[in-house]
Amino acid sequence: MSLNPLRLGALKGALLAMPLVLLVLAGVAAPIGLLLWRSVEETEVAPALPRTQRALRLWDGKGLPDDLAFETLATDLAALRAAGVPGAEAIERAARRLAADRPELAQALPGTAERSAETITSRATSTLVADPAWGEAENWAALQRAVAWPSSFHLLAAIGLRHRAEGGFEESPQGPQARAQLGRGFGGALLATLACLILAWPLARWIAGAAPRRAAILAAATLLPLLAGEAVRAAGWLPLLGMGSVAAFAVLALGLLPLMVLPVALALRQAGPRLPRAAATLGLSPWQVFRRIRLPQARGGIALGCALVFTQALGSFVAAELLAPKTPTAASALAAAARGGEWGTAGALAAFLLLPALLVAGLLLRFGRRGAA
Amino acid sequence: MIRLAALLVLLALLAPLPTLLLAGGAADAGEALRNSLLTALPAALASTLLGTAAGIGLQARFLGRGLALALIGLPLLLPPAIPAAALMLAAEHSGHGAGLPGAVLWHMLLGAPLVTAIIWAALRRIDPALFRVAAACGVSPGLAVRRIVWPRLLPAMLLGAGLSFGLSMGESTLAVMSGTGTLPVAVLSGAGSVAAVIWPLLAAVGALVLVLAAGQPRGEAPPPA
Repeated sequence: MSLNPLRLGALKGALLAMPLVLLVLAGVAAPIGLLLWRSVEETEVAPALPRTQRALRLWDGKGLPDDLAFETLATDLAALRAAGVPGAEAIERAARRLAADRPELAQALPGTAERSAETITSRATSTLVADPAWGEAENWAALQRAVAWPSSFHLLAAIGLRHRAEGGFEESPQGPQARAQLGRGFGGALLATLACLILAWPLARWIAGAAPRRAAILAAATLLPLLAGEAVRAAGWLPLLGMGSVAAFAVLALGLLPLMVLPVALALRQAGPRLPRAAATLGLSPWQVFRRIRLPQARGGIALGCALVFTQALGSFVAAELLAPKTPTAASALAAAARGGEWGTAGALAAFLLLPALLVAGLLLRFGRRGAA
Repeated sequence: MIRLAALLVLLALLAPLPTLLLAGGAADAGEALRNSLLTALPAALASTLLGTAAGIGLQARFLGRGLALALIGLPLLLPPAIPAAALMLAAEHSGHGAGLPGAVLWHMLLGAPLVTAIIWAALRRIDPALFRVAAACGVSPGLAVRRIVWPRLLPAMLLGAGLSFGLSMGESTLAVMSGTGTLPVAVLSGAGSVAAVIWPLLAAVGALVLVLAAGQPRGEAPPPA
């Protein structure tokens, strides 16, 4: 038996770490999986038009679908009309989803439902045929996509694209806006990381070189705005900076600065002052000491700081919403979609934010560890 | 020169906090304070307990340790809007609003990696020779743990608890997204009495500084000025 009570066996160690790991899986990984799942799921149209969904499964997408599809759509719409208020709500939800793909379907679906209800069921199909909207293959293709699984609609819409009936992609009506959101999100996060990288250095050096008590006080002062939270920081900056996207960026970058300062300071402090001092004594210029000694010493801290700042900046929306409501970033669009219950949109945005964030963070952390080894 | 730049950066970091005190309204923040405390206290407690257990457990080598480390650190490396939206969706699925339980869970998972790292580092600093010395002097293993491990573990746990409490009090992403009335949301809408959010924070961080400064292990070479 070892005398060291901290030298645990593998089983004991794994069991002690297990509860937290399981909670991360249940509390973060599973909900995010659910959210990402919703990006390829269609939940608005299929429940409203179950018979049409089955009929369109057989359609090969060439030309117009056969009469059966017209009949089932008429039947589905008649059933919805007969269902009263819940049916009307279902039609409205389905129409909103279809209009996001094909704007003219915003009118066609409720309009057809109204007219087909006025006639007997056997003639309902003819009112459908009479509507020019249902004579276009493009609209039927949109309908087919809206009841399909998996659906690429939300993922494409998040980068401003849509499927064409004849195959291939084209710019969606919201295309420029969607790509501007993503561009602002990623551009802002990248710029914030660079700004933090430059601004963090002097403060990190100060903390790393100070006597223990002063270093603790400085570190706590650096930590304070981080603990205050993004909402408090944004509200505090508002009277000083005013509104605008520049102000929102400044609040974001300054707010995340502690995430860069503290890891860099910790890395420098752990490395100690001996090497840079010896190098300076041996005649290296301050620039050479910085470039050849301190920067490699801080490498792990810099990598961790960059990973933290980049991912946090990518997903922060509070400052952007308060200070620059007219120029939404990807994160604030995600927040708006989540509030509105548009989980397809939210899931697609989450996918486009999550994959780059995890990729960049993983690469940076690997880069940082290689320096330490 | 570099000190001056550092001072300016520090001032810029702290600038938004005093302006809040000046702009503070006198509106009722009692409800918001209650919500924040109901989130932060359970979150800090849970993250301290789970983080301490994980910090001790990760001292051992076991299969999947790297994966466990990655998962424990994951909440800090996620763009915050994503887990917030995911928790709202999960709450909708389970039939509840994304109220306080979701916030407690999320804040707990944010604080736990910090506690884990602090505990891990504190235990790493213990010289294993101390245990051999204790055994050679005839000290029972239980007493050795009480006298050697505990005095180093306790300040680290306090530091971790203070950090996760402060982090949870300020964390606003989920509350802003789901519209839960916590203190940061009250500050954002300009309705809350601002001193109420600043002072618990200052108190938590003040306690933190003292614990940090007092918890510096004696006998280590002091870092140079």
